[in-house]
Amino acid sequence: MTELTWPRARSRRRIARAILATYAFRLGAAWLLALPVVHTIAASGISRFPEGDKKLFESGGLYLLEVLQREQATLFAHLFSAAGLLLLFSFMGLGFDWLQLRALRSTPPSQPLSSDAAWVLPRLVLLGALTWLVRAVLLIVTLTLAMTVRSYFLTAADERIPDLIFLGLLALGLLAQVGISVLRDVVSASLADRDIGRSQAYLRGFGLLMRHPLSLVTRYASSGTATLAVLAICAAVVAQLDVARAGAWRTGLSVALHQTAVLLTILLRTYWLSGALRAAELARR
Amino acid sequence: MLATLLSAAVTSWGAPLAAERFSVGGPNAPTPVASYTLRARLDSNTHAITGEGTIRWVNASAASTDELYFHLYLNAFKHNQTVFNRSAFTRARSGRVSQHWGHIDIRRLTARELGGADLLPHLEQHSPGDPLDATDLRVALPSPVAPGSVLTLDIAWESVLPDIIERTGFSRDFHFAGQWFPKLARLEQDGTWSHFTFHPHAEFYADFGDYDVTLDVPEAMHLGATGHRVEETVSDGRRVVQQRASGVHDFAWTAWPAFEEQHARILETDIHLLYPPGHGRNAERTLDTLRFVLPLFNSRYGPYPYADLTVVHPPRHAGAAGGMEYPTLITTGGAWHASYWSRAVELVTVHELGHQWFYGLLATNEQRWPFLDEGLNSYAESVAAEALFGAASASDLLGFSLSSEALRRASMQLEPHAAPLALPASDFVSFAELAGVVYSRTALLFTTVANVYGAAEVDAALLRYAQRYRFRHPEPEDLLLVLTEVLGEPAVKDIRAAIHQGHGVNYVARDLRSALMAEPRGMLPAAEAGVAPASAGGRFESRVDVHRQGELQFPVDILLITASGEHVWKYWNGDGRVEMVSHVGASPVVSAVVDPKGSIVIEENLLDNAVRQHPPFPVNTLDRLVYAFQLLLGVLAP
Repeated sequence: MTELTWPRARSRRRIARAILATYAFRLGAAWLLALPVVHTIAASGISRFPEGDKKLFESGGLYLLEVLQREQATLFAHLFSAAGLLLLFSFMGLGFDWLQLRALRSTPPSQPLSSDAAWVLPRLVLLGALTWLVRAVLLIVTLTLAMTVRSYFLTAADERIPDLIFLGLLALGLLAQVGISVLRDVVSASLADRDIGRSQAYLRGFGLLMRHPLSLVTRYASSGTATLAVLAICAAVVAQLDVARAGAWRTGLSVALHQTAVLLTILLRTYWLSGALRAAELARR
Repeated sequence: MLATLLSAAVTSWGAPLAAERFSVGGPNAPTPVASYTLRARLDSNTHAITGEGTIRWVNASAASTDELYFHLYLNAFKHNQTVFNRSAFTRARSGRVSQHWGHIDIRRLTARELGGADLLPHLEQHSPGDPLDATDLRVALPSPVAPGSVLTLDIAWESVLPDIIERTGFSRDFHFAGQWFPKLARLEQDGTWSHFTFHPHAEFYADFGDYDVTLDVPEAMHLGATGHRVEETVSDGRRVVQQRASGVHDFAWTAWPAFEEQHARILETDIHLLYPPGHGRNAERTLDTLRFVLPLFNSRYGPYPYADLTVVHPPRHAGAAGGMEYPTLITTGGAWHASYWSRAVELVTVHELGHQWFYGLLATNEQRWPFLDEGLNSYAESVAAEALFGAASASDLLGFSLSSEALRRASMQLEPHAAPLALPASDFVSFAELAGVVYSRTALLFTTVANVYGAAEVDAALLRYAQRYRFRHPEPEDLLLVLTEVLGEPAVKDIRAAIHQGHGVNYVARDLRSALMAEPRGMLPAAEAGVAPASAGGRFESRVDVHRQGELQFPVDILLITASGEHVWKYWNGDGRVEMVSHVGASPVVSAVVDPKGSIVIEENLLDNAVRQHPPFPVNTLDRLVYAFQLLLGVLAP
């Protein structure tokens, strides 16, 4: 593989629909997750102030802490139950990732959507579960290793030494997690191809990552870095916007900025997925 | 050649001994009551300190006494059955028990003015009903000491430092020696001794005096101590340092080979900063904070009177020594990577520096009335932090900020029942309760009083209190006397009730109603009689009930907002159980809020202060939560 380029032959409209479907799913799922918490906040009494819930965002956090402290039992209960839903929605999100991959294919799909979905989704769920398992094991190994190695250096007079060693090992673990993400997405792209079996798709993904680690990781990392930049810029702009100050337009603009940021992160992921798909397609030829 | 080298090793630390900024015998000068001339040697392998010296004590009371009391605080760490260690539920901040026991034993005790009488046989433990605790010792004197008489005690002792679980001890080769020598309790003016068993919630109390202390430590040690360095010599692998401090009531020191040092001068004070390797950035932050806060506290509570201030940032493994105050020496804390947005380094510096006034110069009984030092100092810290950082005084990250006030309210509400502020430290059921009441509630009370009666008035009162009782031992009534002089009785009535009875307050807005006023009807007087009611003219009568729960009676503002956006301000002096607030106007009142400026921060519940006819949906909250969950769904994708 010499280059990873955006596939030319595809329907832009189909891609746009897939992106919008992903966005709509995330919005709807997040809305469902947030609503019980929002109702608790509304019932706390903060909405009865003339400023409404803008008071929660006042500098100093006086009312925010007041609400969190007084409603902590209810909020914890909501967040606990939200964790189960979050798990469910995370797996449902796999279907929307696949929709994007399907839309990004350079050749039009030969099977109807429902048939394709019935074939690929169980495989993607299995891949997702496997990914989580490997991620969890890697996280435990990384933390155990980092803490153990750090403990050998705790007697150093300079406190930075054990901490920097710890951070260095965490960074290595993070790099491995990035590798898993890349592998997952490349395998996902391969799984979408109905001509090959599950094990072949996994092997193809491994093979691709082994042959082109730099180009794949670079593309993934560039998409990830851009995502982080979008989030940081959004946070900084919304902080400057200061919704606690008077003016409904501040709230409107904050909503617009947040949703734009979410849309951009989805677009950046689509950019990466197109690369993963292109790599899988080139490997097939 | 060797002799030359040894003599050349004599160095001095900082400037020559500067005259303290008070003249002995002058007005407000500290009267030396308990002065110590000590010489001590540290064995860094056994963590033992062997010492000897003299204590010159003056009976400054109005009565003769035939006994002395010593605090042997280190005996709190002697075994796990001391008052300090015995209960898992009352152990102090760290909650830990030493693995390496510490103790202090007096080896020699004679009294020169009593014919060189050997007092050692007369030592007896005096923790009432507690034979296992040896932190409070009584010494019977063979003959009484008359008022104004001097008693010179020759003393020798050995201390063994525990591993640091709180304030004092060792960790690896780091040593922090606090409460390391036999310390005389304080004889009050009426001839009673203020002495107490060392309780895990309690701190200390002693008389002012002059300290001349010579410390002998391994040569590799960097040393920081109370007072001014007079002389430092190095020979035979030992470093011998002489420190002097006048007008102080305690002496602490630290020794560690790995300390790095910075020295600076702020106004007329030499700052000596000792910190672990890698903490250079924290050292700069600490110095920057001191440059701002030392002049601020000088102006607010009277000038810092000593020539030196030593600031010790303990290493992480000895973190329990951090966040503590001694005369002219404070300990701070914080990780080497402490973020700027957290303000932790700055806040601990501000707090401990504040103790140079509220503990150091105003030497209150910390066991009996901890609110006088920790509470007033927490208020001083809040004021300084706000001056330094504004509303985001505790943290600030990308628009999400916390103030000291918000954190204090959170701490106060962890212990929702209102205990009197003036409880002794040992009467609190846990350190969390003490923190909530003594630190947080006191600070919030004074913030409330400043908001309601004027910050300038409270500033003036605290300055007067700090000046009048400088180098003295004020009690709660002394504080209340000054507050009454400046703020007047109505304000002090509430402060007194909070201090002594634990009274609180909560304002609640309820039942907002509006109705179109009816046109006058029925058998009304004739119009020409001049008493006929005016036409309602399509106006609305609105009413909201404002309830005051609790005993404190702070006056409050009440804001009414009409449907047309008009803001109507009402005032209630807080008298009575409930105030029915009415408004008649062309537009109905749709929203009402008690204390809209948030002045009464000591209130039990801020969220019941407002009432509104049609509360809006919390869109801002929904926006943030939906955004957070959207991102989370992206991150958690399997």
